Amino acid sequence: MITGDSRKKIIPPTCSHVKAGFVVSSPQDEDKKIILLNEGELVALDPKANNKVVFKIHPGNLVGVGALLEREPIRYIFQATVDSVITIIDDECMESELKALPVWLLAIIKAISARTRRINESIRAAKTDNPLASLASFCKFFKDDEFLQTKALLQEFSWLTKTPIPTASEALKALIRRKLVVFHGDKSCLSIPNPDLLGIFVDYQKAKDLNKPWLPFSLTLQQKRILVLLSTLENGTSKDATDWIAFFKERNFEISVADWLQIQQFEWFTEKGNHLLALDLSKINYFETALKYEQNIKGTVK
Amino acid sequence: MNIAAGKILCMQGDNPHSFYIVKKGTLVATFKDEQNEIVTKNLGPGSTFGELCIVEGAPLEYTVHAEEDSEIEVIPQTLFQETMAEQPIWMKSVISFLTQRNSIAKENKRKKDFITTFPSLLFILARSSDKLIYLKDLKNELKNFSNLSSLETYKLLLILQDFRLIRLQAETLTVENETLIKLLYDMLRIRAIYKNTSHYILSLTEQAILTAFTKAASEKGEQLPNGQISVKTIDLAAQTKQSMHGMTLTKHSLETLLQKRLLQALPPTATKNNDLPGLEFIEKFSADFDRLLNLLELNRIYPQLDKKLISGQ
Repeated sequence: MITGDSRKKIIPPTCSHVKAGFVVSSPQDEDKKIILLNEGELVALDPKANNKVVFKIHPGNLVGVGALLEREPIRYIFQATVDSVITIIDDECMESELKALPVWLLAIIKAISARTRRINESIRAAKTDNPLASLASFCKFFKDDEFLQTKALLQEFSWLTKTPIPTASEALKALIRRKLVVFHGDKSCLSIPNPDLLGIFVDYQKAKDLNKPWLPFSLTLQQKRILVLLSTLENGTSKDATDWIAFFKERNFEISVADWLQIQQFEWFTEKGNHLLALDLSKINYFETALKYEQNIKGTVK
Repeated sequence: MNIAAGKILCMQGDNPHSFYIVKKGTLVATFKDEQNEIVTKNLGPGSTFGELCIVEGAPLEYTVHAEEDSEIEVIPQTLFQETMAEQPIWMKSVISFLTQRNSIAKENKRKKDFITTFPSLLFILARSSDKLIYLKDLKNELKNFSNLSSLETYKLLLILQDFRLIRLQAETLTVENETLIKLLYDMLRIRAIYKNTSHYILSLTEQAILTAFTKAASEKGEQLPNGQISVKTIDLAAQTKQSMHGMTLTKHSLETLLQKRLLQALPPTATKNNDLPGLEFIEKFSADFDRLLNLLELNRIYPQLDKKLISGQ
């Protein structure tokens, strides 16, 4: 069991009697301190709003915890409205108390503070982890014949996702480099030549984020040839599994049951009932487009 | 306490009333995030968890299992309470303050995520090519813009349904008024980015006149070849007076509507100075009827929006 060393020297807090009108803490204070109100009343005044009263502090409440423990700036002036009794816990006092605490209790305090800090940071942070995928997803909603103002597009995206403009600009450059978005004139205008391709790119990015292989780029040569063959058929062409395998074998594809099961993972077929599997050409087109624009998607296009 | 590899220490939702410190080995915390997706986090030596379980008896937010044979220090709530009883009273206040601050931060984040996701939702709905949208697809799209939970997303959709902009079914939604969704999105965008009020926000007088126009058009309107509907000035004035408690139609009250091109004077009255002649010189007014209905609806919805977003949380 880890315990604190109670023999460590404790510096006691200071108890003070303050008169009405006395300022007990203000943003200008260099020494950070916690103030516990024992008796009386304090008010929080906002110096940025002509010292407007923001809230009142009643006995038992304390102020300045964030300032002392988290080094947060003090936002308000705390002033006694009536003669009051306060306990002041300054840096030295707090440090001596914290040192005397069992290590595990100190860990609890730190864990709660860290948790709050993370939440507050996430409120301010961008709403998505992958700005490139997020911007691509945003851009895919525009039509290929729309001419968009670059600045306005970045502002709109930044507003929706809280992505900072410089980060959004970098993501835009990455899309331009991949030729998924095209600048016009002096770069003040842009267009999206193939919005569907951006959707495919988003899927690729998501698989990458999850460290998962992306199916269109993991096809074997035979699977690619089967893809080409299927693209020549009519949408909805239906056969049961045995007939599909026979169909491929007739066209000189060496296809085992294991190969067939793997192909089914690509969702090129949809179940139609009666064990029939219907060809889904939209999925075939998806794979074909991904393979056609592999360099653009991977960012290796010249 | 030793824990063997593979063994589950505690489950998400349990209330172990304990605080844990990893001393040796690796534990793995697994939890469902706001999107209902499983997230894992490794807890190596020095990592701690369960701080809110011990301080405020909150349930554990994740399931924890040992990745390898591990050793952990378990601090039971009884020890915490005994130790706190020995501390100065203000130390309890400090811990209670920190816990409260954590709850407030969590709630603030939830509220902020809820409100700031609303425009993204409108954007997706306004830009979707299909009027029938699968909720699953919508939520997947929304993930690229926000990390709002499925439940909170559904609450936003309910607000849109209240405004009759969409209709929710079990697994799908139908966009009922795409134009209005676009207008609403544009208004929010202009307000947020340009700090301006959209010119689609109408004054009460403008709304009163346009409402009178739509009523007069329904009763006595004349369809024009360009798809617009025209109303005689005399009928518009009478309708304005009748439905707007004796309000008199004046040249001044019509000027902004003409400037915004929501109404057109017939015959065209544009002069060099864009001045409007006296009403006696204007035979009729014309307008895009559907557009006016959408604008009036927009002006009905808009003042309620912020309140709905706050109460809808």
